[in-house]
Amino acid sequence: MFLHLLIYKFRQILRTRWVLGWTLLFPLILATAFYAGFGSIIKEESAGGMDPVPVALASQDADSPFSQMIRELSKKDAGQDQIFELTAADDQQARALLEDGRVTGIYYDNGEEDPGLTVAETGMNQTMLSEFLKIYINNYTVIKENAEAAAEGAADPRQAGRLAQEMAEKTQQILSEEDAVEPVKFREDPIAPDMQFFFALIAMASLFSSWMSTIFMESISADKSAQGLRFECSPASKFQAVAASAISGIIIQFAANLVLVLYIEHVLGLPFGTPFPFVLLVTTLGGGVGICSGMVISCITGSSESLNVAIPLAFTMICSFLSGLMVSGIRETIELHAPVINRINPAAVLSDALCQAGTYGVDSRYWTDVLILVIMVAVCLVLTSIRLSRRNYDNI
Amino acid sequence: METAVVKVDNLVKRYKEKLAVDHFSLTIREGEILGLLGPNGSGKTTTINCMLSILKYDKGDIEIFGRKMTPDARDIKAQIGVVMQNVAVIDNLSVYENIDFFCGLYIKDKARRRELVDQAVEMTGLKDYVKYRPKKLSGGLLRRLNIACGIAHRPKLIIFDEPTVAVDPQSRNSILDGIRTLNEEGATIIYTSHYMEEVEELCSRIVIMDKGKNVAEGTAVSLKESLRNRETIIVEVRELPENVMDGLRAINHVYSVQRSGEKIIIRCDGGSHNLVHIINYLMEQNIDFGRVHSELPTLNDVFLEITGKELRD
Repeated sequence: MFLHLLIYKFRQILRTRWVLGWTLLFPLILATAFYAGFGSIIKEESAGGMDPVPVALASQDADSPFSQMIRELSKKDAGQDQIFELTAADDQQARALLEDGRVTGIYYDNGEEDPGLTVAETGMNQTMLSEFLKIYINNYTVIKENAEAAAEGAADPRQAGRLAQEMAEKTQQILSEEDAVEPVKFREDPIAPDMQFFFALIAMASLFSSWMSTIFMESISADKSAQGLRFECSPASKFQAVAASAISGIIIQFAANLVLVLYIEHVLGLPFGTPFPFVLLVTTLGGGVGICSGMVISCITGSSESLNVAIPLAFTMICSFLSGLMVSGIRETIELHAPVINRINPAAVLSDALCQAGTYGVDSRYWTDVLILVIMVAVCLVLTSIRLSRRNYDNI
Repeated sequence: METAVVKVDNLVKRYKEKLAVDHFSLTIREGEILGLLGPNGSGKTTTINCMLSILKYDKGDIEIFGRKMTPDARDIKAQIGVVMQNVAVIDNLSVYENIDFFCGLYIKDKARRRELVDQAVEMTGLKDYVKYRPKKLSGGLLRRLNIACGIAHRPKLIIFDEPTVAVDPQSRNSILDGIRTLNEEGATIIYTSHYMEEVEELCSRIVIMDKGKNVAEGTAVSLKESLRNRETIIVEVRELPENVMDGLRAINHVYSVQRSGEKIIIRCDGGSHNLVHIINYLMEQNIDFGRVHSELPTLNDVFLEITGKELRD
């Protein structure tokens, strides 16, 4: 019975042209359009590693260690990668540069207190400036304390042994405070920031599969269609039908995502920066969330045909928009002000997983995103099962 | 004594304040073709959906094959075939695939299923259209496909809910022949319709429904015999003096004479040669008249007499 249902669900969907159009063709077209828009920028960024980050230094003490270090790291011929593209300026000029978008951030250094940073928006470069400053302050503190202790020890030879011991312990203590000193580890060749548009696109394509579910659900519920009424008059198991529908939908969406990922990476030549299986794991789970959320939507919308089309579309587009499909940095802004939205928006979770894996490698954040997607699938399946457990209606 | 295949006792179904089925009772015996006749909105489809446990109902008991019908009674559902009022097929599957898909919800064995699907295709005359998609079929062929999907698994009880709505006469006759064949092969049939001619022609017993109630029950002959009106004679006449009207009323077996435009409608409660007696009387009175014809009572007359309104109202 299950196999019978599975085969026919496959046939049903594979012959529904508009679903295939939205699931497969539309994302390919959109990917091509994105590529035309900023594909070359992504390729340049990917080929050349990270460009120096434009930064302004508003320093009141040109000889302070921090100012010297920034200048050092801004040299083109220093025998190492140039990290910053430095503009020395006073406070007012620096602010003007930041407002014009000519620098990513302003480092403040008065030579006495810890240096500071101001950025105008969120993004990978801003994160990099912030992390650099954090690392500098921590390292500087360790070195400074060691140096002061060494000076004290030198002045009183009787205390030298004790001070040496304390210095060693303090240094160890500071270094063991992981958060304080461990820098964010980027992958060797992190993906270009604009790849987030493609990740959001994959998320959108995955959520479009919610449409498939509405078709499946229509054909097994007596309150939705005549076919559903016929189905419910039969002895066939509704749960088997739901399972067959979900599996066929996920397989079809998996294939569609596979085509999209291969198209982006190998035809358009834009690297995901993540091993293929990890990309597929996330996109498959994304398809699962799309299919299962479509089932929940279908349970809520009842027999209204227009709602069965409009709600999955609205759901997909809103989630995709909030994950950064149309506006750059929207996901990061939400992360700053209302991170919970990013945790419950499946498109944002999917984009984040791909973005994290591409930027920092497959780390705990990636697996957290995977876990969230699995939970979303499970919750949707439980809700659908509860709703579908009834087989008779007040009205049809 | 014949076994009761379906037993509905005191069924009540409300849609909020509206009483859709009003203490309806019915027993259907094995091998019967039972006609459920009533105007649109009389509660036929609601009753059927309650019988199938698709609709919840407020009161009453429903037994099918001697067992209480519930939404999860899969073994009972396995023996029922349903042909819906609305065509219930899947647009993206071919004719053959549609029949196979729905048959497969009942029959697991693939070889047996293939055999049954072929038989259903043969019976409904769809052999030349098996590869067609439903959208390519005419209304009549679509109805036949709808029937094939409902009967392919060879159920013991088949419910036809208005299967001939919007069907051309040729297809209608083909459908009715198919239903007779299924009945001859042993299936008990419930046939709902608001077409009295079909019900009269096909069904061995008829239940007339109105406002959710069982208002009359019996064979077509017994229902018509229960009427006072046994013959209606219609005479086209321009003018008829009142004394002639009274004379007509005085003829033996005539119990009602009414004028309707340029027609006189005369109803008789029995007797024979009523038409001859009336024509002779009009000629004796030198009345010029046009066409004269006689009508025997129909189920519509039964419905009219019981409810005071036409079946098609």
